Amino acid sequence: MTVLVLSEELDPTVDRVVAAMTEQGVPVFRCDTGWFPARLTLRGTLEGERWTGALHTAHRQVDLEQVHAVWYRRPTAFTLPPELPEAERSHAIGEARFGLGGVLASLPAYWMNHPGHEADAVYKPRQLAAAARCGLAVPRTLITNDPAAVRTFAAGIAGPVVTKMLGSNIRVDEDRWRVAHTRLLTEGDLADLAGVEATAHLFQEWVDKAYEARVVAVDGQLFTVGIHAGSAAARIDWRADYGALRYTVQAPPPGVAAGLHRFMEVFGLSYAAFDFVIDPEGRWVFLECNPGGQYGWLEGHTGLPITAAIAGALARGGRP
Amino acid sequence: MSIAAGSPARRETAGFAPPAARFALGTPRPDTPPAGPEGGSDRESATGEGRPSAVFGQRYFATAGLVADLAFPAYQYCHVRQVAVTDDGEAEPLIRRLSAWDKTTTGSSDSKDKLQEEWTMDFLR
Repeated sequence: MTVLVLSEELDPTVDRVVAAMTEQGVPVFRCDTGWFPARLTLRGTLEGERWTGALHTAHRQVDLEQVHAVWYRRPTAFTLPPELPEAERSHAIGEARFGLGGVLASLPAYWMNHPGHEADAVYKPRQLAAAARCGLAVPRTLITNDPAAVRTFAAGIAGPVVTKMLGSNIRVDEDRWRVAHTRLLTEGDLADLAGVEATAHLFQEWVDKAYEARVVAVDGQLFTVGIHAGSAAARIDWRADYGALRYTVQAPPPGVAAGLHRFMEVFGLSYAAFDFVIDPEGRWVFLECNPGGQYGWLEGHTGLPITAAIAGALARGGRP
Repeated sequence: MSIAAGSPARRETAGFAPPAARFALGTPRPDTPPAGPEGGSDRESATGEGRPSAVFGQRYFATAGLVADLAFPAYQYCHVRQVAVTDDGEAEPLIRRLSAWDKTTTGSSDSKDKLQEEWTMDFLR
């Protein structure tokens, strides 16, 4: 039995998990979809109702039937010959996605996470609705391209409003990269909503913070770290100022833990990182779920054994 | 293999079922006239510091640095140990040399089938 790890080559988090499994004698086959097709070869044959065959590189091979668990952790784009014309290249990438991706996604293995489930779960509107259904408190939220709706929403909130990205908060403009953290809207912002109509925007009520927390869910276990901001920027969005953060090991209230377990089941996830605000009254408010979220720095600060939990879950193929 | 510091290829991550695949968008028909007052165009809207953005939410993007300044550590991938190792002849697992853990956030960029990462790892500074 083998754990298939799909990731890019340079990922210290993956290195730690792979090293942990290797030390335990767990067979691991790590590869990157970016190696396909030049450095990664697929031979897949449909036998009855499952795909058989092998994946191999110049250095190792794994039989598809031997794969009992898959860790899908940010593998990179397929690498097609650069001399291909763009139209051919684009089409060939699609064929690679449907071919290699389709065979792998069909493997009857324990997935952390299945890419289809993960793709479903990254949509914030789906997350927020699912979180509410799971009994978690969520902020009042508006998604719109209508400036009038923003004004009505803000008036109804009767308090501060933030805007944040629905997807990536990173943009690369030619030679520089730009980041957009959560924005606490000013009166000036709300007075000039030009450009709201240009695409979908997310607006949310500002939730007063005592502190924040990231909960890392791994195969039924919850690892919770309180994140305490020590600067004005970090109090709005802790990602804006990592240097001003302090970390504490926490335990979520039972109701929140139960809601998170239900959330994981709803989306079919075995791993996810959840972000919460804890308000001054101690109420936990769900902000978002990142099904591929990072945990490494939290483990580094707190010693929580998250790497071991991931390695263990992959090695045994999930909960018995 | 070694990878150049700040290589754009490092950022062009995409799996085989990217988020965009869950709300697939068709390729525009070739005879569809391009949008825009100039018959248009795929030019970027005027964005950036000191310039207005055509999109409300994009006003709040701030420059975090030059792509070229992202200093990814020199490494080789060890196919035996299946981890990154130092590129200095020692071939020591990179994780033994890193003083801090990673801090990144991932998002998606629809239609481009890419995932993007915020690389703020301590070892990149």
